[in-house]
Amino acid sequence: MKLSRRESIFGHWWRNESLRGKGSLVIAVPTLALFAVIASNIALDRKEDRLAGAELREAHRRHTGVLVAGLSVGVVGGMAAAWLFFSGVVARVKELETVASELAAGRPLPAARLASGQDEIGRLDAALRRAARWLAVKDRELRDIVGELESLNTELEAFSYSVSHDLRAPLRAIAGFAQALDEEARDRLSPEERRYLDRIRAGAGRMGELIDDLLQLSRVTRVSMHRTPIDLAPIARSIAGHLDGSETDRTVQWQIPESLVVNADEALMRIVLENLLGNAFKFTARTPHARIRLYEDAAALERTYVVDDNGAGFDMARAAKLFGVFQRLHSETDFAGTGIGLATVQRIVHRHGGTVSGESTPGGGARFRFTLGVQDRTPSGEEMTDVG
Amino acid sequence: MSGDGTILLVEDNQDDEALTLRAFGRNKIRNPIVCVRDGQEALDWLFGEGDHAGRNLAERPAVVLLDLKLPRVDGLEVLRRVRANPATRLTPIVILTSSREDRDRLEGYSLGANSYIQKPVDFEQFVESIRQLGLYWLVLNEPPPAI
Repeated sequence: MKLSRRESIFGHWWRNESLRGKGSLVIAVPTLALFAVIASNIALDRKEDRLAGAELREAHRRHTGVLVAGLSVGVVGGMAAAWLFFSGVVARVKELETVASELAAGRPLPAARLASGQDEIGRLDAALRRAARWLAVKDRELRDIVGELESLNTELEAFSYSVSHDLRAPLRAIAGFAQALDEEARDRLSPEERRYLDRIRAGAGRMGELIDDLLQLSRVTRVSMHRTPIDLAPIARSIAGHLDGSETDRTVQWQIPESLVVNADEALMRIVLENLLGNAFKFTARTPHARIRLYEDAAALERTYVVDDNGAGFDMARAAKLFGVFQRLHSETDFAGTGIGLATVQRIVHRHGGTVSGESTPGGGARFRFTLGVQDRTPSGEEMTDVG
Repeated sequence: MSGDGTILLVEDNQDDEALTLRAFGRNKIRNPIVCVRDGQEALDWLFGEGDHAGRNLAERPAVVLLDLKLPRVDGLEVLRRVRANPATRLTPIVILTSSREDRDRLEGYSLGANSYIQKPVDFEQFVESIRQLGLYWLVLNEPPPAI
């Protein structure tokens, strides 16, 4: 990494006031010691010309003494200088470390003391404190957003509740009195008039389904999710049983594994299976040997579950609309339905962090694949078989 | 058996009232049916007060069909007060409402409703529900003894 300015240790030293004061002193002492040694050497030189014998030896001894003293002072002074420098820096870096770890833990920062200043350490300290202020701002913003979302959710709940009550009542009147009329006056009506009456009742019934499906979609979005290990197989078998019971003149071959344990919300997964299996059941209504399967795709990279059937299928070219609310790929006369089921499945699967997709060929059946996100994992590689 | 017992129908919606009465008729349920339009009138009738002061309280209803959204006093409040009054606290009360919201069911059962039925949109289903209701509460179920 190239620095914009070459920073020298001296430059750092100079900019730091506390270091400057002590440092100057500590540099001065060895320097003075050095001068003393040099002066003593010069003095000795001069004495060598003039003195001899014992006096000369005495002069030498004194010079050695000064040399030793000077060296000691020089070394000690040098060590003191180094120690002063590094301890100053170390103490400040330690304070920085405390500031940084308090920031990482989200706690308020201690007041600036040693670490402040004009040098790199000081700038680092200032940067950490700026980061703390920025995080506090973002935190407040997040809290505001959460508050807004919570009140939106409450509004949505009130709206759904209102739909539940207020739309159903007049609908019941329409359906109920149309039926009453049918019971009382059918004989007096012409075939055309009877058809009008039938269409009134069919319309009311359809609206009731739409309300129910929309409410389910809304509930699925706002209800809280609890992921636990659950076995999809018995849930699927129960749904299959109900479907079989609803149309006793049909025989469907169901292929459901002995057990299929996933980590997901049980109530929501029940809705997913009701929709996917219900769709498969519906679109195999005209298939002589209807076969509907639920299984896990062993070849997929992440845990993937498949519901497929050999029914009417759909046109893949229009598959983009498959999961849109109210989007239907078949006309109402071919296959009844509100077009909300798959949107609900998608909403649930997305809430689990997974994806869902469908593929088909007209007349060649359909296959719906879905995943349940990264939290759908068997713990430590062992099969989740014990669901209690 | 409460075969002749009175049915108290607490329902503010006139369409629903007409349909319910028709459903009882279609099922040949001939018990006397008293219709009240709001929660206060329901309480008055049950306690023999207000507009219904002086009613013979020995004629206890075999079952009360209670809607939740009512004017003046709402359904859950009626439930609360009926359960709080020693003379009426054992009265069989069936909540009959269009809501299937979890919190209504929870509140209803918590306050002591005997049963919770969602009014179906489809009238045939509604008639069937009333038939089963009638069969159960008026024929099969044993009402509480007089206290």
